[in-house]
Amino acid sequence: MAFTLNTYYTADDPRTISKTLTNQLDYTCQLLDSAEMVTPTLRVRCTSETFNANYCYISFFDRYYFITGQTVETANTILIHCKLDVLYTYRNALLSSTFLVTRNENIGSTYIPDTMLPLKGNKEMKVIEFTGGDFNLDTATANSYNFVLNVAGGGSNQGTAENGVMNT
Amino acid sequence: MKLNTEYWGEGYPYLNFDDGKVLTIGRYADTIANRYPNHLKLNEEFDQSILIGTNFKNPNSVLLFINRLEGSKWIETGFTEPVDTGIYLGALQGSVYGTLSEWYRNRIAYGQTEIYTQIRPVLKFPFKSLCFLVQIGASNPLSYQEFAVDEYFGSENEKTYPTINTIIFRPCFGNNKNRTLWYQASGWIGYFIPLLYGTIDGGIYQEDIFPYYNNGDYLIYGHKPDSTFHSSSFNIHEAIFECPYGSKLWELVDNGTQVYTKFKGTRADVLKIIANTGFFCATTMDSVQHADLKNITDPHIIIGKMNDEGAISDTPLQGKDINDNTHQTTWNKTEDTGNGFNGIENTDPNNYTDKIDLNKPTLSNVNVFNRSFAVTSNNVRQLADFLWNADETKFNEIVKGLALMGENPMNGIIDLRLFPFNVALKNSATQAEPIVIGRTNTGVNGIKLTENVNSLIDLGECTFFEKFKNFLDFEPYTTAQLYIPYVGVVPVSTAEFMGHKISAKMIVDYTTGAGTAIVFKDDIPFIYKNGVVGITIPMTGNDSASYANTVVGNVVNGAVGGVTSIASGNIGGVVSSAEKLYSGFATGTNYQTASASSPSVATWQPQKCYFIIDRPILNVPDNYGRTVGYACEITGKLSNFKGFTVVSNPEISFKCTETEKTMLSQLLTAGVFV
Repeated sequence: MAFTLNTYYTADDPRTISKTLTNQLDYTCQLLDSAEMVTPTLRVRCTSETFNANYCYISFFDRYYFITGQTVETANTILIHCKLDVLYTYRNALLSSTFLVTRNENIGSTYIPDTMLPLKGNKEMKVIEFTGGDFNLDTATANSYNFVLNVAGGGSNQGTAENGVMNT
Repeated sequence: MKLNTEYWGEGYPYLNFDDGKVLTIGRYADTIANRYPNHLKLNEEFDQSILIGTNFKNPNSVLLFINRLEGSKWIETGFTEPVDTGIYLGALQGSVYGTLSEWYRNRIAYGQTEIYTQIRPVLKFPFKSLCFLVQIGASNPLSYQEFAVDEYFGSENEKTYPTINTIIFRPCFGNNKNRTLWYQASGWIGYFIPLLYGTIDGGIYQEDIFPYYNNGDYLIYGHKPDSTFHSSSFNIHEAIFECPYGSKLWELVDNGTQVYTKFKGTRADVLKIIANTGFFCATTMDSVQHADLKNITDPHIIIGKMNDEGAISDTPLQGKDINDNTHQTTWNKTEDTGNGFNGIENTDPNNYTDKIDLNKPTLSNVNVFNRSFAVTSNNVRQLADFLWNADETKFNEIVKGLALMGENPMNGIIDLRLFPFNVALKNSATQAEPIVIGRTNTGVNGIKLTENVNSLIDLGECTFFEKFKNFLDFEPYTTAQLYIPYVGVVPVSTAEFMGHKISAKMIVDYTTGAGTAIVFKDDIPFIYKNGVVGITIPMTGNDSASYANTVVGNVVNGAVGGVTSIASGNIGGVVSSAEKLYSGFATGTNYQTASASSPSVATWQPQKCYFIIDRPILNVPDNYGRTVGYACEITGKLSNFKGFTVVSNPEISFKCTETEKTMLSQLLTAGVFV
């Protein structure tokens, strides 16, 4: 069964959803009898450009594929081994779907604990000195009222030995 | 907005918008005077139900005070510290209310008499119908001009007018797609500005925060070149300029004829200032009029990220990144602005307080039966000389005067202690009088403590700020301890104290020397720890022997264990041994790692409180975000995220095979590049 194969070159990481595809070449190819959809193998008539492609679109499956390998079959034909790229194939549906995102490159650091953030084993100690305060031992002198003397007696209207009340 | 109608009522219907909603404006003074005299009172806390959010230690709250003309130059007298603020929409328009022009009274609630603020808090408004144009006011030696932010940075305007003097916010109102420029608007529309509510506790004045020296129709940060400062009528007054982030981004310039502020920041700094307002802002004239604020694609629309609790940050979101990524985007109805600040939907009947006062007893144990004196070390020496008088006649008089005490003069002296603060300063009586022991006038003067002696000793204060502005600022990553002299080291929760003023006071028992340190979080006493602050001065052989036995005995039993525990890093062991260490003293103590073998030894230890913070040290590679991603918990369309993204438990709900669903799920869970 013959159908159209479009090959491309992409420099994007395989995990990129919206890949940039260049160098499109169109082929008429045949599907091997036992090929399945996820990892199909195709027979194409090769040119000098065929070996530069690393990505393709198979119209028969209406899906995009990574080219994982090429095997020279004859002087004119090669076998292209493919692997389904679900991210690019379903890019529109994916991008419009709502998900719970737990990590993101550009969200910045947040108040959600990140156990994967690499920290050094040591810690940095910082000390803040309080401002103000009543303690004065670093400036007190012999005339500073820093002592408290608790004594017996000495109440109001109380006589003393010196003023003679004691003897009455 | 969960408006507190008990306070604000329904306000005054004022403007109609495309969506049929009504903007209502209430004037605080009118509301108080005419509508709710039983509920609202001047000089009390401002009702917060109109706030759209809060911004802790808001950098935009920093003010620059200048009040000194030295020679021919004005001198800046300093920037205030950032304070916690609430953010609301206010309308400014001057008029006379009372006997003076309101221009000169900006206060919301405090310090009011007959002159009220011209500010009208806006009670309800359609959030997505309002956008502020942010302008850069810049000058060269010849002139001053104002440009939209993105029509200044990187343009010829930046070269022609190289000195940035001001950052200006001008309101544009309409609907989510078409808004009227402020100068084309009628009525109040041109007078809306983002306002801060908080109280400055630094600088020269105790003031509420809101725009100073504004002309009533826009918010301006900084000050444009102004020659009036050198006129004779003006140079006796102080001036206040709003300068977000303070000296980091602003400086005061006086060239001898004109005074102005110079902004030292970049466009990125301007975006942070914009973010702190919490409102939609635009950086071009076209965007402020026509950008869609419900489905944002225009990269010139900026807003500060707000969490679900209403806390606004200085993280600016731009363009498409705004959608579903900040709380304000959920405010589609006029009533939505705000997220429940004491609002009417609050059914909790408790009357919460943010302040707990310590008691000031009217009775004390001082001077009830015996007498207590504040004395100096010179007084103590004179007293000892008197008691050990060589004159036989005088000595016998002393003995007779102490007949009640068994004729032993030393029995008349109950206690002598050294305190690490000036006791006389804490006493309402300041006149020295002779010390009478029993019935004997010693002739030595002291300051007799009264029953009203103040036992509350101030140990100072500090504020604990975030460093990382993320989870690393909290336990278990960042830990903190508080060293309190004569008490020891107290572990404190970083989550409890972060961003708050921490102060410490100590209640002292002058009779026993015991003290209880109280750590305050703002105005709430949070931690109580006991210690011994009064150092007993031995006066007799018995006293000395008892004192030494207590101290030495405890040192032998407890301190060694403490040292061992410290060396091994076993903090729990230190606590345990420290408790033993002071078990012999009058009151229980909780000395921890900073324990001393006696209060006397503690006098050699630091006499101020210290906040000791242990922070983690990051080792984050530059490409951490690209390879691992930063942790978040955000639900949204995948297209709203950019770069490396990890999804949790994805539900694939579009048409594809089971095998493909499994593949997609595995890929999304492991991380993809959007």
